[in-house]
Amino acid sequence: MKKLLSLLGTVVLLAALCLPAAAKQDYPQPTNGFFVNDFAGCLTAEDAAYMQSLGEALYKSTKAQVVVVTVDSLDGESIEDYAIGLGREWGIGDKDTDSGVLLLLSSGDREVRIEVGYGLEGRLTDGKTGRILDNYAIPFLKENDFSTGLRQAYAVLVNEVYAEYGMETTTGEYVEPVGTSDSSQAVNTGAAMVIAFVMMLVFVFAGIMFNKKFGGPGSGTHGGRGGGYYGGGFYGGGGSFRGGGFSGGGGGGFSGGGGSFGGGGSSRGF
Amino acid sequence: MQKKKTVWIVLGVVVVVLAVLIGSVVSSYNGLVDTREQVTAAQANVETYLQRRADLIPNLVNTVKGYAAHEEEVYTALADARAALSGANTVEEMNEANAALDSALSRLLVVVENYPELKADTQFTNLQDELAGSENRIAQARKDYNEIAQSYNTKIQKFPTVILANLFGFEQAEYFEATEESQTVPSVNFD
Repeated sequence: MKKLLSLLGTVVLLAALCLPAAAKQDYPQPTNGFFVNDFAGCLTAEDAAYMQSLGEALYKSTKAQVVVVTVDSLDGESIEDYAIGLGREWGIGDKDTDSGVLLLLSSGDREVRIEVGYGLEGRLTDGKTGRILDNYAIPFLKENDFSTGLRQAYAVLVNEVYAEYGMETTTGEYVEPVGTSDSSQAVNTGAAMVIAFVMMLVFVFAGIMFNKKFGGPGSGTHGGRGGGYYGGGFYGGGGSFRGGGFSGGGGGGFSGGGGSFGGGGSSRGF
Repeated sequence: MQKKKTVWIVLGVVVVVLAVLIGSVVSSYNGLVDTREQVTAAQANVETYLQRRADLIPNLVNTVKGYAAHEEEVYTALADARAALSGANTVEEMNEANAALDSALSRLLVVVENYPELKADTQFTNLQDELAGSENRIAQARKDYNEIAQSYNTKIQKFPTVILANLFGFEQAEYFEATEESQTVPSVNFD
């Protein structure tokens, strides 16, 4: 009797688990590196490695996760629904603070979206994400240079998240926004660069200390482009399967922190 | 002696059965309360986002007015719909007010099409992004609400919870429905 009951219970439980899963869209599984998921093969190996290093550094110092995903097709879903579905399923961002950002591009639909987790909506308002896309990504995406467009948007997003945590830092690459050249912004940028430089020094020192402590190769080097990160063994092949379970770097895998999304952000066609 | 023992056994069984019954009633009642709270929270979420969108409207109208001063009709419709939304109490009223707001907004966006300079205004692009973001959040919050409302409604109609639900007055949750209006993209023509 007891056995029968427990069997019945298991069946019911299984059915309950399967039902909602079956009804929902099938999203691809995140790669082992988690931050860069180039399913559509849009990124150059260099840009992918660069974004991965920015993403890891950001994650290590803030627990926030900025993830870039490219897909061939949205399978008929709107990019808004796809982004929120994938973001929630992967659990991008920290569970407690919902500090995730998803930069999603569909090469087939020629659409791009920045999806912002609840915790970062204050910093990355919808208007701001729209401007980031307009100024940094769209000009390149229109020219089919997906890799540059995404890299720039990604770098800006990472900077914004650092700023949210009171860490004015630079991603090591300053990109002139296209189409906006007003002077007040230039002054601000200048000041930001100075602060960023100081912060960078601090981070480099912190990085050295960090390395001493944990011995991870290249971990924790912000900003310094020559920080020796590229040799980290994450991306060997340069094909579209990079990182897919072959990451040789010890403990190199990352996964979602369980953050959630409510639909903040903005989308653009190009 | 034998008789007394039987009485005790029977009594024991009755007590156990009662305890199980009461236990299951209590837990199922608490489960209902939890779910109802989730429904309320999800509804509050939708309301927040509806309000958020409505709050964008004065700014939007001001920006548009700078370029298109003569579209009074649309502005009035927007103001009315916004007032109706803040006065709405039930889900149904909210649905209605929101539909009116949807239609006024889509008319505004049609107007905007006639002013290319306005479309290029960064302030306006900003507001439009905020507006689109709000709409997306509303859609999402609605979807989340409907999901939880559906599971709640199913729960309170099922036997034996239905007895409890009737006894303690658990009412069906209303669904948020996207109106026809908001599902169709406003048509734009340049005649």
